[in-house]
Amino acid sequence: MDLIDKIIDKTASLFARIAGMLIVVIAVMVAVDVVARNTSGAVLVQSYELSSYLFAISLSLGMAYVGLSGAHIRLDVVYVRFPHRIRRLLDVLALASLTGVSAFLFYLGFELAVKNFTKGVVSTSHLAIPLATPQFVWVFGLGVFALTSLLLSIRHAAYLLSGRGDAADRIGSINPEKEIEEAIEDANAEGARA
Amino acid sequence: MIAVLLAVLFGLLALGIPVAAVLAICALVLDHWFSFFPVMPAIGELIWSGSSSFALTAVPLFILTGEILLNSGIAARMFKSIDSWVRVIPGGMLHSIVGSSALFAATSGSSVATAATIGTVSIPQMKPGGYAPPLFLGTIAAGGTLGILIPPSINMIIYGVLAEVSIGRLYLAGMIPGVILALLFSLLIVIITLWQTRAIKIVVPETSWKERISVLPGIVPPIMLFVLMVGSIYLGIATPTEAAALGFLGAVAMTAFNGGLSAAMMMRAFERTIRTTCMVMLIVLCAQVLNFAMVGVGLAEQIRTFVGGIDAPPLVILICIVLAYLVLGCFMESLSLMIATTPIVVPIIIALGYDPVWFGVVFMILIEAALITPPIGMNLFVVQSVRGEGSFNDVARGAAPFVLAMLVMIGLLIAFPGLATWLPSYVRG
Repeated sequence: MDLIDKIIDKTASLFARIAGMLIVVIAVMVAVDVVARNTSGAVLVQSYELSSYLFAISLSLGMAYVGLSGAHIRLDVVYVRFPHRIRRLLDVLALASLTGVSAFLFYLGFELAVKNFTKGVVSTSHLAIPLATPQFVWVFGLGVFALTSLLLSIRHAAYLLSGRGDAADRIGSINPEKEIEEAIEDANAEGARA
Repeated sequence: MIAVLLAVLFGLLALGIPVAAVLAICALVLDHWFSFFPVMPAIGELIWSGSSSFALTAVPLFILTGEILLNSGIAARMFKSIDSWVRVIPGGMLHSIVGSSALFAATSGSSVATAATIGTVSIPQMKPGGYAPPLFLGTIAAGGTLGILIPPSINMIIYGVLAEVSIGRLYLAGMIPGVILALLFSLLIVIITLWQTRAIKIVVPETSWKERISVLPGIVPPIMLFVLMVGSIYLGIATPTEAAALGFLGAVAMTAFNGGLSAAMMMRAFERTIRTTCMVMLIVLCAQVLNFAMVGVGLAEQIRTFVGGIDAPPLVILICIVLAYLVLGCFMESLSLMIATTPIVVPIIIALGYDPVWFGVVFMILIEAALITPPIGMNLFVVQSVRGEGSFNDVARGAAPFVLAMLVMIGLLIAFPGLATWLPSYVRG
């Protein structure tokens, strides 16, 4: 179990890093086109279209990481007023709803990609890229997202059932401190350089 | 139907269900119970076009820029430079905080990043300067909120996409109100300082003209970034997303020049950027699905008819909306509040006859207020954590007067809509 957890975590953060690199690729492509357009009037890399695809792929690859790092936004004003047991029940519902949404996105995206593949739909631009190509990569990311959400739900439920409530809370409960702690860490990085 | 939607929306949010899932569930509820023809088959197409939106590509670019700028040291030099010029005004360094926040906001699309950055460079000076903690900390929290009003702004990009208004026009619309709001903050500080006897104890070191001139180059990097990220749009060189890409590369170059770039730092920045981007984008995608379902079942039309049928002047309804946001802003995280309610509130605003670009600016100021109103106010949390000691109440108390300044700004925008609409109409002819 722990080995599987480790593999999932590593894979998700690897995908997040790849997704981040894609953002850099987008920036470079876009900048090349801006310079080219304003100097020679030419479009060199069709950055508008390509970066849209890369953005979609980057998003889908990064989705799994959000769930694993517990960063989905949930309101805790009412939540914290519930007793412990009910909170854990709400955590189960929260994870289940995320699994549902991710599975839903995966299913719809898959259907779309398959449809575009069988119909041979191409983009309405110079490049005439078969839309199914970027869409299948995008759907792959959504699939990873759905799978990790499901595994996270199962892991959470397994912890609860085996009486390891604390371990379950670490993945399931709302922890508003996390984002703030990181904003501080970032700010300290700035302070260190100043 | 409206009642069902609002009940499901706020009921599930209160139960702590993730915001993105709540919006998706709302869409499914509308589609299942109220739709004459199922809209779901079209949703695959919708989430693809939402995911591959060139306009929204600017969001990760801004977040990544912020992550990288933290390692550049430009904020500290900028603060020093501004401080040497403005600290003679009653209130001393508090004006430096407001000014630095406003200038940093012109390179940053996020309020939290602005507050954290300015907080880190200024808080160590609080005790030696003899400042009262509440006002000092409140100024940082409030000044930081300028991050989303003064362009570039992540919130404006998302609002622009959801409300289908031009991001370039939103940026222009935010500039004058952004500067006026910063001036209102400073005015408020002068009034409070002159009023508080404690202010006499503030230590304001003398500055020579030589020093002022020597630190002046500190404001050059932020101005250069502003020209890349915002100026390039109005010079006709770039679209808002392209400008974000240029700004990002500029920030990378500046950080590299200062020796702040490393592979480990970049990897960390990637992970954080992607986490924030994907978290926000999942909510945006689900909001678009809800938007679509609302139009599909005729709810947007129904809202319009309903609002049209209310026998009250538009101004009264607008004030009710403003009050509702002030209350909601106390309890909801601000970005998800904005995304979750845009599909509902924009049809109302348009039905009332207001300009959605103008409302975008009012909306940003309401979101700013949400960031500094307890119990849930992200900027308050951030400032308190940077400070790392004392009571959270200090920050909340110190930030409270600035909510007043924001309300005055909203009042000014209602009385003189031209403050927001003049610049966009002037620049675009």
